[in-house]
Amino acid sequence: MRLRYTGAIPVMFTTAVGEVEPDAEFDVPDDEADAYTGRPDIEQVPDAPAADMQGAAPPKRRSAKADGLTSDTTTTAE
Amino acid sequence: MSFPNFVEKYGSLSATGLARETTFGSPIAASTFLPMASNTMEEDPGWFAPHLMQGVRDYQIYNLYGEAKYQGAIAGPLFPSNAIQLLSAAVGSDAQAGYGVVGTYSTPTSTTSNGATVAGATTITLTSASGFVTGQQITIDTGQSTEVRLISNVVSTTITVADALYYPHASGATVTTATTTTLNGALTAPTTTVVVTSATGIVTGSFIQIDVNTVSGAKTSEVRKVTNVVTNTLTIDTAITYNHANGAQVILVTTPYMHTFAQANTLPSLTVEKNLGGFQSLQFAGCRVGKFDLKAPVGNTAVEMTTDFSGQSVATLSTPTAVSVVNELPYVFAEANLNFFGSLRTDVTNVNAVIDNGLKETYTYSNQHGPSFITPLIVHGSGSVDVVFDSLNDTTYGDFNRLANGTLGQLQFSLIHPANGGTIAFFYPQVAINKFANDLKQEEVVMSALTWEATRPLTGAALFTVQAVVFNSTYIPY
Repeated sequence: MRLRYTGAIPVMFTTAVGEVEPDAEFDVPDDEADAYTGRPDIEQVPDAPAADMQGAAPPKRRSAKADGLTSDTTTTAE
Repeated sequence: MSFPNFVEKYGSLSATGLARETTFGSPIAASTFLPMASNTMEEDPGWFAPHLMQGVRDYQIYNLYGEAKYQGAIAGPLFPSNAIQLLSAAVGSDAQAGYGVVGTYSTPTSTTSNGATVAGATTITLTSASGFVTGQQITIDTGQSTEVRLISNVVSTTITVADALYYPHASGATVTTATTTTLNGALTAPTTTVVVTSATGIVTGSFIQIDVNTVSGAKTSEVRKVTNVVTNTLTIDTAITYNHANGAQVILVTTPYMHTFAQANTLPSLTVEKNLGGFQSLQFAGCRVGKFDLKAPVGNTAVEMTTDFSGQSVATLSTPTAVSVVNELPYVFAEANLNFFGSLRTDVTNVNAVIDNGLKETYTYSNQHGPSFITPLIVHGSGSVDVVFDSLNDTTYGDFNRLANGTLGQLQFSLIHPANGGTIAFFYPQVAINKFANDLKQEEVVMSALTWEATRPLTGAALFTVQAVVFNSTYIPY
């Protein structure tokens, strides 16, 4: 999955991604993407439109945060 | 017996992440991480069993859950940028009205002060006022005593500022100003389009400061990155937060950027992510800072802070948020500066500063066991200073006399990385020394241990207990 870092200053991910500059794009394996997409300073880069879909903007994936998926379970002991 | 069929987790792979919440208790994925020494955030579900008599000896029978608590402390070094959100949660939000982010002038007009100024002064005399114009911003002094004000009048070489100065400044202090252009039309937030009277010198990738702060909040500066320039119309990367009047100053600026964490009645809440060995995380939402405890002892140790949190709820994350840090160093004692009662002290071996927000958890009928409110009821500043003993009554070092005479004074404590690598400063406008002790030991240098209490001045320019200022490379408010 291709991601874009939207933060204001360079940061160093402690993963294989390493250091990223503001607005830099980078790739992560799909099965590791959940660790990034919830962050408010990370957004998914939309896939390039297919040849027969030119002119139609690809759907923008909602962030996990927007989907309320930043957590798996919430303690609500009753 | 067979070995357990799971893989052990490494403590070293653990992490502590933070994010500022927009709504108290609504979790936000971590976007800043504190390289930490410990994180004791835990859930106490409030289990209890009423001790009842019903014809059996058993002490406890019914498992009930009352007030759940989500508390703990996070300890780690103090960095210029990493986890600076802790300061906003401990003192007050960054970039409040009248305390916006300020940049460093790209092309400053520089001079020096011609005569010392005292705390509370509203005028400053310069050796030359050429280039200093009413409506522009003036920056007085450097380091922990840097102050930025709006010029309200210029008469010959005497500058009047819109808001009184917090700190005293020696004669010869560096004084700068700058202007690039002005707004051509008022700006109404939120917008990313800025029309200026002239865009000369402003290009894509420039950083501009819009407006100049006034403590009243009538004007609040904001710094943004320019992403496009078409004639005199600029596009900026992030929409402005505050309105700006037609004719407001627009200044080309660069790093470091000055963030002011002004004392406020409402403190931001944070989401705290406790990453367990890089495997899973506990995500504590609605966390407010109770105590913020800073220690800066000499020795082979970083300047350290311990932050006590109380939260509202916890969730488990099966996938911890990706950990990132800013490439920077923690502070050490050799970068510390203490200005105590008007004197820069070089005899200090330790400073301890505590901010206590007096958190109160209030539980209500809300179909949850966590607190409905976590309220910072007070702000209490206190601490201690250890110094090499010099004199009981010296003008600079006579702390015993200050104790005996009930002298009140300012306390400024700052940590300054070299070469604009980042500065953090704490300012207490009024402190009193309430204890002075000399613990004499045969094989030790005579030391003085002082404790101090901060109080809110009744008069003057700085009507608060504590304020924090950070200079770093981040231009967007925390």
